[in-house]
Amino acid sequence: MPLPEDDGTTPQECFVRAAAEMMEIRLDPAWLPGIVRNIELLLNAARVTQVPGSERIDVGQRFEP
Amino acid sequence: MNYSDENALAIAAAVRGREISAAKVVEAALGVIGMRDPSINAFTDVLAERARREAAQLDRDLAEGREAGPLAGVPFAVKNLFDVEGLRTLAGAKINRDHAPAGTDAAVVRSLSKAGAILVGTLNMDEYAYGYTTENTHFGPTRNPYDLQRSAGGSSGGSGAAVAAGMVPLSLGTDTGGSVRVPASFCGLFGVKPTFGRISRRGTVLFAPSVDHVGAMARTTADLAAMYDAIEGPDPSDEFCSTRDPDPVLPELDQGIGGLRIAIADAYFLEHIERETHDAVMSISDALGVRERVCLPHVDAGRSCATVITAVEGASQHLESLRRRPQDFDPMTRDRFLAGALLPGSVYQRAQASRRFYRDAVREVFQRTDVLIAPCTPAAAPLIGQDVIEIGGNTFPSRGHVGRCVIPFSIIGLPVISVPARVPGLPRGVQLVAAPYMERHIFRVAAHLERIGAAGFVAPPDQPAADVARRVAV
Repeated sequence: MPLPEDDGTTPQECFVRAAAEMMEIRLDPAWLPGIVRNIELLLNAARVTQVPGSERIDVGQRFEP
Repeated sequence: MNYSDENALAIAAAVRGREISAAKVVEAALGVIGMRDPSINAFTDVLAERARREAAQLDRDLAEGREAGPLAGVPFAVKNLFDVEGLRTLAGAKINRDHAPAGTDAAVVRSLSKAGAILVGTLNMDEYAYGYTTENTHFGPTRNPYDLQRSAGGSSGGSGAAVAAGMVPLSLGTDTGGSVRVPASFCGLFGVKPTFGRISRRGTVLFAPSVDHVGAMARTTADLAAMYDAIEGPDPSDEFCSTRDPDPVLPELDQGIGGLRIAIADAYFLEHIERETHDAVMSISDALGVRERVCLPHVDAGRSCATVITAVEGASQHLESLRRRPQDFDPMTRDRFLAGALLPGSVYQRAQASRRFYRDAVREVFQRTDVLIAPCTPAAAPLIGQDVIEIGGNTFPSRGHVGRCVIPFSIIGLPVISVPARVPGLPRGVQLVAAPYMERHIFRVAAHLERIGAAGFVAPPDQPAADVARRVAV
């Protein structure tokens, strides 16, 4: 697995490449910046979802016989 | 009868009364599609043979005195993620061209056929419904009938453009984060996204299963109500379809707005929108005599939940394709699907928890309010290829910003109608939002607004073939 200093990819791009590899997804290196940008957008959105009190919500499912 | 200008219920009445044959209506529809669609690109398949066959059967049934349905002989078309027997269900994807043809129609297509409507084709969309502009790389962009340089909206862009351009009076779409309401807004139509679970999704390609809704578009509230009545209700073959009895809205349209508590959704919903969109909201609220404003709690969180949930669920739906042939995804969706596939599970789980928290908080608002008024799209339709939009000195990504005001309602499954406000310039929709399963309230308000002239469809400027197209049906 290439490290950031090997080919100039950023640590984030390296993480994405590694995660994709473990998920058995083969990426074109040209897609990495776009994927990183979108993951950052999603993580920013995730921070906004954390309204105080929401962490106590139970998201279990009821299974009826 | 000028086919392109005629509403669905008038066509059905004329067919039932045998003033015009279903066959002639279908030929008119096919003629208009043939002339107008090359410049619009709404259709991905035109089903001439099927439509002619069904029309001929309907005409025989009528000649023999058999009952015809409420939508007898009315041409309709569907977003190409609905199964149609014998057709590959594209869902806007090149990848799906390799799938086997559908063995049977989607549940809602069957319901409309049972009501007498005649399917004439399938419609363009964003790949796998992940977009707001129908700038589909594989099948080309769908153009807005009001300005061919602009987007028709998305992801059900073909569904909006086909109705606005007079090619069909009714269309079906789906709405996960606004994909019916956005094209309805950009194309000057009435569009309904009902309560989650109100309409069967059996036989559709899902985008984000916990958020997907089937919806409809039409040029009048009566047409929209008739279509909604034909497709809503329980479906035992769809686990997530409500078991509630159907609750027809067509008989409600003349009830007016008496007794309804209506308020403007303030704060978040009136921020970062164009002045003309603000004017549209005010024109609707003024027409209704509404002054009260309410602030929905945690809207930013609700919108963000939707962003995370749709990305992750969408990626999950297509994980095998992302593994086997990522290069075949539309570049407009690929990065976002891949990002969703790689997001940690904890982020998704927290978003689902916050979604419930937000839903419960908004539920409280509907203890005191029956209908909320909110903008639909922050701005008019963007140009095809437009990447950013400036509003009030701020710059936003034009595609993502389109969903600002629509996502917060669909993520918690509320029923919404987008009505076309009667304002100058390009079309702008205004949302009417109700508590779960209270579609009748928003249909009453929409019909009232149309009756008093505050909302309504205004045909796009005539296209070169318009006069010829009209002669087809006479």
